[in-house]
Amino acid sequence: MKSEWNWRAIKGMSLLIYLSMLIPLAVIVINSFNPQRIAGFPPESLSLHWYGEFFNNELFIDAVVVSIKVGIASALLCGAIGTVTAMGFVRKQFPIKNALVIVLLTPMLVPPVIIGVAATVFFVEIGWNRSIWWIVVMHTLIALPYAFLIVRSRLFLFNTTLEDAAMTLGADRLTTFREVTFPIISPAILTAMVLAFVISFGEFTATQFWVHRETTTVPIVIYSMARTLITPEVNVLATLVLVVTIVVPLVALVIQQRLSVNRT
Amino acid sequence: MSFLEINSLRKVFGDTVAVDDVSLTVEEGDFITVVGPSGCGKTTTLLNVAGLQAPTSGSIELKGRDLTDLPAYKRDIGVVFQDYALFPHKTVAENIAFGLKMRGESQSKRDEVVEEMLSMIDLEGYEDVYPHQCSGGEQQRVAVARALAFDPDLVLMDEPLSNLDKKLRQSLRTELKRIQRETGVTTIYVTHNQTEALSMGDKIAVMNNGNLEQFADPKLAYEKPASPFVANFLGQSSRIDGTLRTDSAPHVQLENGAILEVDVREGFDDGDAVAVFLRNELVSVTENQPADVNAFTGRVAEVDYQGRDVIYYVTVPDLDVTVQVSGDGRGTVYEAGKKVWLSIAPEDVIYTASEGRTGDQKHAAVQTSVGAQ
Repeated sequence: MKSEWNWRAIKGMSLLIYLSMLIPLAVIVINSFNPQRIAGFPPESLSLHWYGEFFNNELFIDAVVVSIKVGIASALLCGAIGTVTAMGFVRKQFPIKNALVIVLLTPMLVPPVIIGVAATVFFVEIGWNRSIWWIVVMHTLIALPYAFLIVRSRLFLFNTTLEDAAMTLGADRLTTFREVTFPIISPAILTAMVLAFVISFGEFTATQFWVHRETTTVPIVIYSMARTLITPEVNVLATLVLVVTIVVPLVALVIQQRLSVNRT
Repeated sequence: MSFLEINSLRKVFGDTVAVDDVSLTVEEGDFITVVGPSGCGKTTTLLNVAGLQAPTSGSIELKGRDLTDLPAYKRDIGVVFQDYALFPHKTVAENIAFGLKMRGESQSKRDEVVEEMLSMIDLEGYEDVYPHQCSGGEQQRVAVARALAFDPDLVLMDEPLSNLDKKLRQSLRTELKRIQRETGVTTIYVTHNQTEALSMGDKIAVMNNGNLEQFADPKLAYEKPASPFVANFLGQSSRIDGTLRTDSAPHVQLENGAILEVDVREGFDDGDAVAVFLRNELVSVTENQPADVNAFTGRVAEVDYQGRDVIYYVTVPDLDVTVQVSGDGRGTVYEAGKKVWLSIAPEDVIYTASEGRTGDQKHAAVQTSVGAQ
């Protein structure tokens, strides 16, 4: 009897936690369809009015384009660097390996605001002009630990006899990687890249130090608009962010299942 | 010059000597089995020949070409791995054709070979099937086909049947021998299963603790083992130590004074310390005293009924030992406590030097050439 009530309490709490997270998101999505400038809730009618306004506003479109560019570049870099690094850390034995793993994971541990300030000071100090590459490089660094961990855990499970087999059949190391290792671990690399994209797309705290007028990313626009005046177009932008960050992983999931359908 | 020559191969991992000074020569077309308990160095030897491990010292020559420093992908040696190592993301056809693809063969040539291979392993129509859709036995055959498809100089098999159940193992054993006969490819087959080693090998190499104990014709290894280890490892037997006497009728004087008549084995002299091995199946059990020499009375201590056979553990006071004997399970099965007679013909008594190998490396080499005749 008592445990049953405990169980109900746990379920109730979980429900509350999820609702408190999901309801505000739902309000934003619904309000993006509310034609009223001063939005009451629930909306009296629904329309795509603000979506029209949104797509006519260059500021928003530019931010979306910048975010997507940065996201894709970071994802590609994280995929490549994360894979090579993970291969090295799993396959090679070298001194202070464990200490180096910690170093590699520090971007996960250091508060983003510190990363933001530190990188800015550093880049200015070395005389690198503020550009979109600041953001690409730093987003890659921030997302790299996640990419590294995902690919590394896949490599731990990888049966290296498959590589031995390829080599006895005449494949040199590079061909073995291209023909055997890469195709088999590619679903994990894809996961790593999607996660890198989503992290980059939503990164705000550190990124605010690196943007300038032409490289403003979506989260920065949302923040600055919400702080100055609430225009309903922000709801549209926020909704689009939600869609991107949910749809991209879903599409990736489908691709991944296609990729791994013939694998054990 | 022999087809394959392994010269003084040695492989050390840290403080462990995995393979210690192993020399082996293989003639073209031979099917060699390498057998020994786990950790004896047989797989390490194989991996060194394949080029997947580099020897600490020693050399490997194939067709007169020194392979020692050649990477695996330049050796033209097919390998069948214990877990098959089929590429999970490639179809059966792509797996089999992989070696040809690496050698730049055209698609039409590859298709042709794949078809030929599939017919050889009796898996026609499996081209587009993925490995995980195949049964264990089918995967095993695909792995063999993949290792043979690029026409290698040598094929190495590392316990290829050990992951299969007993029935399948037996049928695949015959199948593998047939494929080897048809292709004529020189094969080294590693196993821990002595029956497999004896039945499949044209020659058998017995390894223990990184050493090659004996390399000989299976019959020779079984009947004239070079060391107590080989005698003990091949077949079931009971060991008794004693001294060889050849002055009168050749016999072994056991430590407790009892006498076993034996045939004289080449290379043994009067007074040599020997280990006698009584093979289970060569000792007969009777109720009444037989007329034979080498008859001893004993008491059945334990009975292990196995259907066709029955294993008796017989305590023989004269030999100071409990002898394992195979009896016929179809006749009368003696009960524990029963007094029985054991006897063995002198020519069936197997013995070796009581320690180490009989003779030295040269002696082993002589045996090799005897086996080849």
